Amino acid sequence: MPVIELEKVTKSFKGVPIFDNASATFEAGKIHGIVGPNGSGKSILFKMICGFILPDTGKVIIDSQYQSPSRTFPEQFGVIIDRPGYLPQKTGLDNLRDLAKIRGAIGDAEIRDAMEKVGLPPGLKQKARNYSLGMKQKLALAQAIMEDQKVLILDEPFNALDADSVDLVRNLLKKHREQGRTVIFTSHNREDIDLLADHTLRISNSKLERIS
Amino acid sequence: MLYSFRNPFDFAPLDFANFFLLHRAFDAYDPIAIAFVPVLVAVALCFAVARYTDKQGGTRLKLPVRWPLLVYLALCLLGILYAWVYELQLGNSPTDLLFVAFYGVSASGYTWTLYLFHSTVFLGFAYLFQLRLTEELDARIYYVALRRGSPLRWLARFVLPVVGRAPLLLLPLAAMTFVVAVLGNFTGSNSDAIEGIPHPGWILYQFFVNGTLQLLCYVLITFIVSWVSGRTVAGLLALGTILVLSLPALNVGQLLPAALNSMGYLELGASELVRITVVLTIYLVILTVITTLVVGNRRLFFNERI
Repeated sequence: MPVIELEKVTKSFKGVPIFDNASATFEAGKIHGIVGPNGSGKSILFKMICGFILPDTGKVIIDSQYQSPSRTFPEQFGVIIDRPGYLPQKTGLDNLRDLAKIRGAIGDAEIRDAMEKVGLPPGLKQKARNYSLGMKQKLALAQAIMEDQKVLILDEPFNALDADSVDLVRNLLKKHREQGRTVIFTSHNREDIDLLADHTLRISNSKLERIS
Repeated sequence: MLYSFRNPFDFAPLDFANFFLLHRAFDAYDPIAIAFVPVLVAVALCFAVARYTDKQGGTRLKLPVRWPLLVYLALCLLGILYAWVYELQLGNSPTDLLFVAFYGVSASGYTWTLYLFHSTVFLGFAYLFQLRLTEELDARIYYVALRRGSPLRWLARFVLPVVGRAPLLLLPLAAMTFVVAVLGNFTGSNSDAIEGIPHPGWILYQFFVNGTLQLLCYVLITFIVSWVSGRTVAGLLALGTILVLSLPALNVGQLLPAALNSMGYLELGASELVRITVVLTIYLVILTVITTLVVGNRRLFFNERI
């Protein structure tokens, strides 16, 4: 059963077509890899899936279990989309506390646990502005998983990570799949796609093609 | 000779009022067009700097986060001290200082320095809001909005705390002014400020009620411009435009809420202050409706930020 379905979606930006009649389905409990050159529309696809932008025509259908009448954006989605996700003057832990407070569903224990899962020591006193690129990426990953999200939408989750961290995150995503959760991620590294993805989609000529 | 000063004893280019006030410009320059040249050059320069910083990736200050707030508060304090010295020199009473501080204009007339002070207080608050908005939009809008569940809920939770902070900002300013008025070594009794004021409470009403409404108008204007344009620098330009359009020479019909004094005069009585409140409330309702519409329309905002 698909968690997300794109039905004949067309989207252009400033007159340039990004998607033209594109359709795709993302099944539950699978890892879906998205590939495509820079500027092909991967971020736009993710923003449409999350409801941040609307397609010009066509539909983005989200499984009803992730929606509620009072919400515009889907529930239980964890995302990394082209924003760092942290305030530079705060520590990583404080940044995550701020975000967790919004839903009020988790406490410090869960936040610390998520940081440890991605290899970021929760006790760090450093402000986020002083983090390395890899640490910032881990912080973004921690916010995406900390509330036990059922669907992960991750734009380039392996960016700037060292080899050990890449392994850590790969295992994390595999574990996620074993628990019946859904992951959609983009990567420029073919190895990430080959190792993790059950299905791969390529954005090409304004279409979404399933290539495996 | 290309131009001449009407009063040869004044060196006109050194007096800023000659650029801000039409009648002063007319007195100082012949032809009057000369007065507009430096202003236009300054505005063009500001636009060029704004465009340059925008191309460089925005206007984020490389200063510690609290510095803009500290600089802002220091400017406010400076404004109060300036008003104190100004009234002291005129031999006026503490009441005059309170009048200037709470009302935004000297009883003896318009002074550009007081205008700048009040512009700093009111537009500076909107600028601090702009910095906070920039941070939110640049860093974590998607993560916060997703958790809030809807764009309008995000808007409410982002803007409502500012509504609460506006009077909180005005409160210490008022307290500081009272302290300066009481401890300010005023000996003069040359007060002409309170004549015609129905009740001293109306000064406080003007400061807190109309002041808060005015602050919120600026905040929403900044928000709408930044959101729709997708460029935070546009919010800054909007604030600059308000500053220029609020100058008495241009704000002839007193349609823009500027520096607490442009919408009416205290001497005209309580009904005038209530009229200002009504006008500002109408502005605020219109701005709130526009804000809700632009934030609720996902085709408008997020498209611009792709």
